[in-house]
Amino acid sequence: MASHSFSEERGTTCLTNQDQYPYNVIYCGNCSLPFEYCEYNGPEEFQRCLLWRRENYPELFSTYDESLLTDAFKNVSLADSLSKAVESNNNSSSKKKSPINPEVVIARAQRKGRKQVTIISGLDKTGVKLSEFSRVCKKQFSCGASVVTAPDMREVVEIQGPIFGTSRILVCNG
Amino acid sequence: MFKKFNPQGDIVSQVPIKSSVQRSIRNQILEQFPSVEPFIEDILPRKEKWILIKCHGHMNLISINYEQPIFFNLRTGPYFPSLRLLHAYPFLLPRLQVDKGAIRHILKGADIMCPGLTSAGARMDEELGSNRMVGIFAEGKEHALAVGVTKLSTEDVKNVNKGVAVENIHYLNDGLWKLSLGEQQS
Ligand SMILES: [Zn+2]
Repeated sequence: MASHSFSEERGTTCLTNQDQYPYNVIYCGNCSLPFEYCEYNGPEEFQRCLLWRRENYPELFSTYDESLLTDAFKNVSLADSLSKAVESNNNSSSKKKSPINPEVVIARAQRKGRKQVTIISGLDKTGVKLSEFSRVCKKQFSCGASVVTAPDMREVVEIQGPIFGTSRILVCNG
Repeated sequence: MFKKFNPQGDIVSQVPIKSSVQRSIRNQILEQFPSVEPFIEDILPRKEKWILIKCHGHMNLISINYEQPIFFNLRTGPYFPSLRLLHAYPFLLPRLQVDKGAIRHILKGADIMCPGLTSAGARMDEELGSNRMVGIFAEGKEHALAVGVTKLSTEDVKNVNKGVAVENIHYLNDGLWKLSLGEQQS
């Protein structure tokens, strides 16, 4: 096992584990990385990583980790900090955007091969009911349309087919 | 390689792998990674469902039971282990260690430059030729943060000490790391 020549330096945990592959690596439930790489997320994200660690692996949450928590995060739970983040996002967006110009994004995405779909995101912030909107789309374009949850957990309307121009008109009028 | 990977657009098909093909994949992986032999049944269990995920650019991913892919290759090229697999079996690949300063860049998808492998915190304990598959580890960290292919031999890295030393193929938080197949099962 020449390739494992660093192990002696990495301390006893590694040596005793040598016959216990697969290693059971614990991943951060907040950012999905091994704990030791959490710090490479943005500063606020890292705070949430620390909160997650404190709540789920208190035995791995060191006093050093504790010292990294900023005052704003020290006494809150992860859920609190998440809902706060959402709140502040909502506040800022509703203050800035919604009265005048909520941001609606029409994008195209590729499906299998050359099939394309139109994804309209941001509508949820405008007060348009997404299910209502997709129903109208179905009629208007005679194609499938549905409300799906995007990877970033926002709800978007997905329309089957590349119909950017016409869907833009609909969005503007609707 | 997975920097801009987008499962919705880049996955072309997902098909079960026939048992005859499973056997040849298993053999190829054993040939490439002889050290994995005692664990092969854990990694590639005969009885489970093997899925081949074909992606644009002739990229193939292998998943067991639609879990996160464990191996990938280009066309019929050699198989790369995914980082999660490398975390579980760190002896799979020869290791190179970069200094702390390089981590940030690698996590953004940058290739590994020579100075990152020759500075004080870095280690190249093994002599390696060019075009070798390697695991990229980092100063002060236990687990790998990237899988790459050497562009220069370790000797050249020391002597030249300029330019790209290792091509970054797969890194923490890239498209492959984040890929989850659960929702596309149907
Ligand atoms: Zn984290």
